[in-house]
Amino acid sequence: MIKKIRFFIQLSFFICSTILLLSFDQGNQAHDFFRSLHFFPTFSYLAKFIFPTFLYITLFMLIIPLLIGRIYCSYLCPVGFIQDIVFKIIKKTKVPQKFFPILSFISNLILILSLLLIFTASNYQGLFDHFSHFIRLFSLTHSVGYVSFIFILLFLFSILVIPIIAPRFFCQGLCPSGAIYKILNLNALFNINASKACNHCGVCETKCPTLCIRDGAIIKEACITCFECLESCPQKAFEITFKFPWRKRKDFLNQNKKRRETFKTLLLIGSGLLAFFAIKKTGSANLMGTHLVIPPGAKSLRHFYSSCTGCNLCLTVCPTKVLKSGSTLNGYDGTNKPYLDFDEAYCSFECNACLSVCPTGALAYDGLAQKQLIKIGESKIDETSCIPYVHKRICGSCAEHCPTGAIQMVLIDNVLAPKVDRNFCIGCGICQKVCPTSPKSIKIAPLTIHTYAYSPKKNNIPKKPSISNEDFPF
Amino acid sequence: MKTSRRTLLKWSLLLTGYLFTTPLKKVFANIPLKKYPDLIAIKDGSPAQMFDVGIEAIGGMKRFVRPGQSVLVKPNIGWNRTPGEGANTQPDLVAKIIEHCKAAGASKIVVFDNTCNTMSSCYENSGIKKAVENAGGIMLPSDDEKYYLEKNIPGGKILKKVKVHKAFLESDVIINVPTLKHHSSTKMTASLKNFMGVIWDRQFWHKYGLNQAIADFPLLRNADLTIVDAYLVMTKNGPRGISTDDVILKKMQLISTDAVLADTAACKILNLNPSEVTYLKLAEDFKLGSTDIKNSNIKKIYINKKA
Repeated sequence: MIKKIRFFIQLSFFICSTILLLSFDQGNQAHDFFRSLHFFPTFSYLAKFIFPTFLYITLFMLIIPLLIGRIYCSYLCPVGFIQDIVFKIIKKTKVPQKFFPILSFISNLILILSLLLIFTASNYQGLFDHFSHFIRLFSLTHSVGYVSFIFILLFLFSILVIPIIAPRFFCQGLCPSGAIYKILNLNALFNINASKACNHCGVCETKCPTLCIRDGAIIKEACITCFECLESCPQKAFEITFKFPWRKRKDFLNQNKKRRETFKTLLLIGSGLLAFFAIKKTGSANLMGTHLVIPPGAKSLRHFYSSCTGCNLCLTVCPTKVLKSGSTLNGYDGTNKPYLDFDEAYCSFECNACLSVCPTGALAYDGLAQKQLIKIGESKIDETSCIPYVHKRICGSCAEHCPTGAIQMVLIDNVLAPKVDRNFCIGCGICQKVCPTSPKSIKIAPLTIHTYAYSPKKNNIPKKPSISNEDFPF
Repeated sequence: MKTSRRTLLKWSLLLTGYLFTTPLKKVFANIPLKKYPDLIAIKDGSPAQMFDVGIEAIGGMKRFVRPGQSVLVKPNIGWNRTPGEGANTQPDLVAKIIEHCKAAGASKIVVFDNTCNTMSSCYENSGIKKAVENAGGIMLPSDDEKYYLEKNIPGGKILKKVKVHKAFLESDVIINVPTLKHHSSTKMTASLKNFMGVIWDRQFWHKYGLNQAIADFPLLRNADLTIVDAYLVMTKNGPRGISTDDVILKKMQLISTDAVLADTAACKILNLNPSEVTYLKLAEDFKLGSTDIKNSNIKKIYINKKA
């Protein structure tokens, strides 16, 4: 029964979260709920001393494992669900016991590294986050860069292939959120323990979805508290017992002696890696990224690169598909992070989908009216290839599409030719997209720090158009 | 006199030759036909109301649509803007035209436009998708190259080949429903310019001569009926417009079988001299219509006019 209930909850949560994440209704409570369930997006806010409205959900998610364990991992996490399905198909019954301490060690290391990266606002904070990896799968329908593609393949490998050998490999060895849950679970108040009724028949060992029971005792580092052992035991020997956090746990792996040593190693490797990334962070962001336009709401290249986890959710919802996933082309920092490519598409003036779905606050949302003024770049006309300047005949493709009226046609040598008023240009790129020449004669020059353009609307625009009563002039 | 087989054949050949070489118009020139005005100009009503009155004056929809024929209604849905901003054709008018086509017995009425902004958002926000579907028409997709067929244009000066939407080629009757707007490059956009929404590669036109291309295209196929929506007229910052400041509520409508004549009248409404709009002269040179508005038979109708 528990098994069936668990499967049903997992499946429905998987479907609901997928649908809700991909829909971009602003102010949707459920939307906020689903994206706040996963720690790292919220941490990304906290790292910048912003307290999002959905912070309480994340705090709640931190309290649950202190009480009862990794409910999130076993019942809600979509990544875990995928691995469970793979494991169910394979039906493996035994893994070597030494797997668990190794995986636990790796996940501790990754946790420290990711926390350091995220709270120092590094450009690589989304490297391990399961939520970002999961969402990136949906961007496969869009054209992603080859680096993103490699990331997606690696992730798919770790959740579809490795679970054949080791169930829940990703959750136990790679996922930093899983590591947080693991540490909290080790100090949980309520625990599953075998009572004296256990006759060491070994049924539970083969039925456990993570294969983490040995000789009637649960390896807590690997347990995801799915409660399936309560049901699978023929003797009904498992019971939930209360334990004060200060009382010592009966440790199956008995790592107490080694703990001090482990901690030292972790600190050493963690700080070394941090130094490596910190060096990478300074410098390259400003040098390499200036060749690309970053989405509206990103504020500045530094802010954007240091808060985007590269989940590519914005790519998935972009209606014009102007957003592309960065490859190494825009520096190591721009890897997986979105940029705008105006040769084939443009940023729609009436749309703010990317801003409203961004789970990490990398794209700060302030309403559509404000987005329409955010200047992400500036169009520049190349007068040596622009048709009216060179061939002396009208074209005006850019001016007719310009949503802000920044491009106006003015008479130059008796031909109407485009001129850009930089005060009004927001860099939406529709001019570059519709320019008929190749290479394009009008291009968007990116801005490293986004500013605001002048409002193209006059201060008191009438709500209704003015009425004219003149007769036909013919 | 006895007629031999030879003489009969001779005479019949001569007769068929005469019929083929002489335009039928000349033969039946003396038979009086019912004369309709060249242009109907209607004022002071809602778009749908004006169309009701105007279409009667030009002979009713039955004059253009025979029962069982398929109809393409081609409004301007170029921009992701609301009906109040005057960038697209008024949805009520499109719906009314479809109703009239249905009443005339049209088998299938399709509507589409190759939009400048994203297709789905333009179709939705212009209100035209809803209006068309309620009236019983079909909105066709236009945002993929697969819907377009390449065609040669006989006599086109710069436009020799063009990729045209299949519906434009397959429909029996074409009703062009542009909205009158200022245009940044061609000064004015209405009937002829509206055909840029049935082709795939607009950038080609811009690249090799916009005015000539606009005049070349109707050589392929011209509209059977043109209805210029000048209810909300965008007088500056066209063709997209920036705010309601750019539009003036003129409450006018032009109905004609001659797209060039309708455009000439539309120029006047925008306070433009028709000679400023280059493509009109070019289209007249192709004998696509006449810009001679003074010698045309214009019928003006005023709805709600106080006597």
